[in-house]
Amino acid sequence: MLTTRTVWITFIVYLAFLLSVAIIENARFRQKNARGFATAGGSIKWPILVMTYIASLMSTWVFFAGPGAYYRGGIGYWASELSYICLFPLIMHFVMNKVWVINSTRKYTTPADFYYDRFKSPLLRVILALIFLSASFPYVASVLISISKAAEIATGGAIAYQQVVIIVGVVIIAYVMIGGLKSIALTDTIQGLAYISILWIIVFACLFTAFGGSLGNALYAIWKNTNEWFSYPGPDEWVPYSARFGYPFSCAIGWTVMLPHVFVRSGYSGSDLNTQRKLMFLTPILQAFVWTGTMLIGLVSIALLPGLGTSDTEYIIPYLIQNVIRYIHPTLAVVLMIGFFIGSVAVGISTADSFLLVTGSIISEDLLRHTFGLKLSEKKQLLSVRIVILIVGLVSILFALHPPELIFTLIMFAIAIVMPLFPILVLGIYWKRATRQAAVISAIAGTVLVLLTYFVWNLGGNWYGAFGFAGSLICMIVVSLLTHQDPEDSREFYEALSRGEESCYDMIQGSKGHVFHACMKKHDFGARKNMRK
Amino acid sequence: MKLTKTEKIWLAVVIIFYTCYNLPFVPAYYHPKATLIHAAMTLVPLWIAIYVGLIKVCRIYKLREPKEEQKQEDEAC
Repeated sequence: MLTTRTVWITFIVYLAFLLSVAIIENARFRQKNARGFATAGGSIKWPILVMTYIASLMSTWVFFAGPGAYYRGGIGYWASELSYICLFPLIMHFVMNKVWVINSTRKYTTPADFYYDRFKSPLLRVILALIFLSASFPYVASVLISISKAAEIATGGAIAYQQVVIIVGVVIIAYVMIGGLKSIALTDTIQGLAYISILWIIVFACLFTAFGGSLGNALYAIWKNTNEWFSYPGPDEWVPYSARFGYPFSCAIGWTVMLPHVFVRSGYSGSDLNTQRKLMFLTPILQAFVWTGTMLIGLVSIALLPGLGTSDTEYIIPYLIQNVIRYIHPTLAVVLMIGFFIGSVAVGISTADSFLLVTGSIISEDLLRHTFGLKLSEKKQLLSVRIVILIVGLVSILFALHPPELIFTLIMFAIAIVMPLFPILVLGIYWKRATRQAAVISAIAGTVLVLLTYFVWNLGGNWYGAFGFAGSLICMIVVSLLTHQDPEDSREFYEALSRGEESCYDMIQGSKGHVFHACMKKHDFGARKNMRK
Repeated sequence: MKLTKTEKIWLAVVIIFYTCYNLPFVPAYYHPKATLIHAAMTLVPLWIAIYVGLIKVCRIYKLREPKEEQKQEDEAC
């Protein structure tokens, strides 16, 4: 539909803009160490943190399979999304803000650093590094594949898939290597604003073109023609009771907190607790805003074109533009197709760059440095992270050029595979009795359960990581009660938490928390533990 | 780690509404009106509970101004 020239010009202008933003940002804040490079050293202010979180969280799914999922899943699918989106402030308050408080004094680089600091287990670090890698590495290649598909669809196959993969891949590698998280955060913010705006422009354009701007008319058409869209399990029986729980539950934990790139953003990167609070308040609203836009495209599509097959609904936005809008407003169709292409590129790149950075830091820090004992100066350490990013990026490009089936399999359960790590995190923070043996067994048992859920019991499509989560939680409690770990191992960790909370919060008089804080102040939380020993 | 009473109530209320939303066999399949009523009776209170609780908890945990040395350290990073 678009000419090859139009796509290339749009594409090159856009990528050049991203690259220049990264170079300028790097010139302003030159990174001095691997931690600053990978986590921005806890210096990101709230507007950038919120946008980089949202942009890196949402992948090309928003423009590709997303609207089709609402088409097939119906309003029940949207309700299930809303049921987990709002849980984010709760998880942030009880878990990730505590991670932030401890990190503010303990200075972590990778998610596994936090677990290691609590449990002092090198084996646990390796297991976690492998789990986090298996969740993040395939994403880089998959996003390159999606962006190239978008270019292919937008030009009706006129543009070469391989060329797009190589150019996007090289630009992403370049700007991640140049500026690290600091420049990624800024480009994510720009891209986040771009794709959210484009999404809603597409929503309004579709609604006005098809139903004269009347949402009521669209709803009436669905009520009349595809009534099952308004009920569970949806038109394609996509949302049975099990999936209504399993999918949102896994998203609430696996997707919004435990995937390593969002773990770093929600736990390490915020400049202060005020920034963390803004993230808590705004993220659910922004997420709901984006998913509602995606849902409305699915809604307009099923109102207008009921009975489409799965393959058509996977690419419902270009399908609508090419088969409906093109015949009513040809110029608008071209503009929307450019919007679809830019939106897909923006939402894809903002995810791929984050995964590339975190993959690089996990390999460099958790494996090369802490596991294989590679001792380097700070400067060389930073260089090693950049080299690892280059290698991982190039391997991802190769995978994207010839995608093996394994990549799609790994992506399928990326959200689920990190879920068993959540009980270890929570009990590690709240329960001093939790031991390293329990953490190791829970991580292994939980991962095995997730693999069984997908590949043996064939329940992954509905239950995701729920069984892995439950297994990990049970193992964590039972094994901790049966084993013992020297409290000295976690003393500094808990002291960092109690001192950090004391210095960050000013409890109001009369609350139980105030009494607790006063008590901590008076007796010194960590020291009292030592006296008992 | 101890929790304040407000935090415990917040947690409990959210779990209750989340459980209500996820009650198996409610609403029955292929009942649009029941689906809409169920969503209104569980999701709307869930969102309200989250934000009301968040505001209350944030009032209890008032934030202190970060120390000057901490700010300098952050900037150095």
